[in-house]
Amino acid sequence: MASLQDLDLPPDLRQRLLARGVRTARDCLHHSVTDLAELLDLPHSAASALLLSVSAQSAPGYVTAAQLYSLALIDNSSQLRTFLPDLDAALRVGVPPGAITELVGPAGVGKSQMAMGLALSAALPRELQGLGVTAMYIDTEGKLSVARMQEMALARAARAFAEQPGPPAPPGAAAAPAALAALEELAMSALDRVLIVRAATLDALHESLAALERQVPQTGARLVVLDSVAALLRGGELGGGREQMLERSEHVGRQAAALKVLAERHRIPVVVTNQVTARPTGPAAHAFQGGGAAAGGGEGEGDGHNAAALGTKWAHGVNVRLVLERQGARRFIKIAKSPISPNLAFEYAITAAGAQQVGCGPVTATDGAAQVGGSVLALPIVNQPAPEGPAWDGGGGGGWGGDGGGY
Amino acid sequence: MPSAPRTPLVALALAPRVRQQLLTAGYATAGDLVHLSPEALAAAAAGLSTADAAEALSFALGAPQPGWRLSGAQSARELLQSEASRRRITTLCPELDVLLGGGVATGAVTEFCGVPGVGKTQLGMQLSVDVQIPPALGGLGGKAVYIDTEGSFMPDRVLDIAAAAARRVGEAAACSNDPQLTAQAESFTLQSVLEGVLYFRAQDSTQQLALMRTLAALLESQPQARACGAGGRAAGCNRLLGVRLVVVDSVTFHFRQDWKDPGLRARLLAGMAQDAAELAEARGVAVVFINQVTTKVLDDSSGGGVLVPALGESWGQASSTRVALFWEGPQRLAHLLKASAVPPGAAAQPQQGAAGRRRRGAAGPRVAAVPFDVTPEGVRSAGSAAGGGAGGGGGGPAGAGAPPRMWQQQQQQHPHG
Repeated sequence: MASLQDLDLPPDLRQRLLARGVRTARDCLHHSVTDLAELLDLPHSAASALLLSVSAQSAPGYVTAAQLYSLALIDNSSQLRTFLPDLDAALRVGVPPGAITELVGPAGVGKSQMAMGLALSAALPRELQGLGVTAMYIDTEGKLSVARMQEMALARAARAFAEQPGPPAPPGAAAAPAALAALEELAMSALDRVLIVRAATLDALHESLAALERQVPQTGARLVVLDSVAALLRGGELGGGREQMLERSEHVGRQAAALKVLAERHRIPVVVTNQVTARPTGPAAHAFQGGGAAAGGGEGEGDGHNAAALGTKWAHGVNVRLVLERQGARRFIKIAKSPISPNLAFEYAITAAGAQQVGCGPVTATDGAAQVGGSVLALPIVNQPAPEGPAWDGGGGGGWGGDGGGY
Repeated sequence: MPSAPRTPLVALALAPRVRQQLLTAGYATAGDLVHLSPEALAAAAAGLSTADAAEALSFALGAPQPGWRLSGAQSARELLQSEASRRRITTLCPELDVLLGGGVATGAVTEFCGVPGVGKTQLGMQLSVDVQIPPALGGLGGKAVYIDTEGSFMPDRVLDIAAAAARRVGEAAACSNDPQLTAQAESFTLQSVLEGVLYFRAQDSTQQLALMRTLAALLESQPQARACGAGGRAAGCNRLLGVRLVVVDSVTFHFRQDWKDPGLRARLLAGMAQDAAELAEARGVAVVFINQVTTKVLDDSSGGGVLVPALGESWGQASSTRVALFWEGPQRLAHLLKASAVPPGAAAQPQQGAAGRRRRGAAGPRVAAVPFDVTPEGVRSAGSAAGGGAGGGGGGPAGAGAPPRMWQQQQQQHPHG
């Protein structure tokens, strides 16, 4: 916040402002010309000129979209990939820097898996298609599993080994294990670059978010993951009355703003996971649409569909919303909000190496994906687990749906 | 236009000290001052400097007073003419243009509100491109100022939209067989479009307020639009001239949290709206406010809520045209909430609480709304992506269904266009 001391003002005016309790540019801009004239005993013209001068010194300058575009081109070499190639292509720059990307879906669909995978994508060395940078991971639900992360890293090393150019080494040759071991060593180095912060309470979360302002430049982190944004806000801490709803809304808004500033100031992607909640009264709608909101069950039963938690305000705050859903054994990821991509859906599976694309190109409703377009607020999020419950699609390893976790 | 001689000094926008000194010296009305010279006045009022006296005199003589809104009254006929000469910015979606009375009006403030992901930012980026289309080809040949408060502006996406618009403009010019038009179309290049968007990032409410206050000076510093006649066919008119569009995307974000004093927030918003309206009027630019929506809990104990534009009731006065963008199933629609240029009936709200409309999917028209799509090329007519098909899969695979009947009926009811 620019203090008056930092502004170029005539000394006598500055003194008069300070004497009236106007200490920052913000304070100053909260006055109208008429207010200022009265407050400082200035002619209208002088008050107007003062306000204009403070405004000019506080307003950001502009760049043309052409300049912005060439800046974005430089960024492209350091884009964070999801390892779902078609999703990356649709998002154009992978997970975009300078913006909040949200992963939302029911428990067990693989949000934490995807989040851990992204942290690895950042931390893995370039030899393994990573970025070789530090990632900060704020874990509010205790779902981060370092063992699982190690497994993902090793699986990616194994895959990189299998994809290495040149004739495959004959089985049993001594060179192969050595090369694989070297890759595995590289992959394990990624774990040094994932910094984990636990935040078990709302206050702890606020502290960690505030600390990020300092820690991100200190550690040179190029990715921040928050898993999950909803857990603490939805938990019992704040209760469910009207007052609490308002308070929650404040928290949510402040969080969105803080994360956004962080993302932009450092030109890094911020990834958050969010839960789903039963829609209380059907899809949100404007009054002029008729039906809609008022058509719900009315008893808090909901209409049997899930929607993203945290409501309208939060949804406005995220730049990209990716919805993960499950239908039987199949999982889909939908681009529900993006300034750059149309609404598309892709199928993926959770494998040893993390989330992996299934098939080619976007899926359509006839392929089994549920509604792709439509309001982010009203979009029902499908969660129909296979009868045997969430399981790793590749078998072995057990339930990786995101319900497990711990260290 | 001199102030009426009987105007009391307290009604002039004088500094309080100056006003007090004049009153102490025995002056009461503007008429008491007007025959004096600054020097004489300074000599007559104790403590008054010549400069103070000169300013007091200029107010008394009726120099336009900042903050005085009625000083430049216009006749209804003058207003009508300026209304008619207002150029409009096309959205490149004919249905939306019709809804808006021919496009987004210059010289006025237009608001678009809607749920996240419905296409507000897409529309903002689209308009930033469209305003630059050369005048002879249906554009304004002006630049755009884009004030981004949310960080959602994507230059890659602007490039896509610009490429599609350039193709369109090129085709239109080619059809005309007019070498002048072709030359103008050729000046509408991707590079020129990207250079014609002045992008500001406002990181907090202070930066946003400061930016809005300095806009007038910024617009002044840009080459002026008026150099180019209304016809726009004259040589030399194919350059971008002046800023004709200001997009604030969104006006809401920094004003939704951390405002402990709702009165202050309302006052700042009102001031911003007033400055924007003045800027639009004085410089003939279109100001587009993008607004979020918020869920208003209904009082009827159903526990339900409806979506309403954010920032409260009084913010509704900020714009002369207000459009809600929303979804009906997989289809995007635009509904006119408020329009000064349209007879009241056309923008009328449907009656609330009619039992028949409480069920989703009930037959019959419900609301005056037009469909639109966001395609890889940008904002377009609904269903147009199915034919084009270029890029990443159209406006959403599930959105390809034919639009329900109500839209067609409603479009015909619109009187303008």
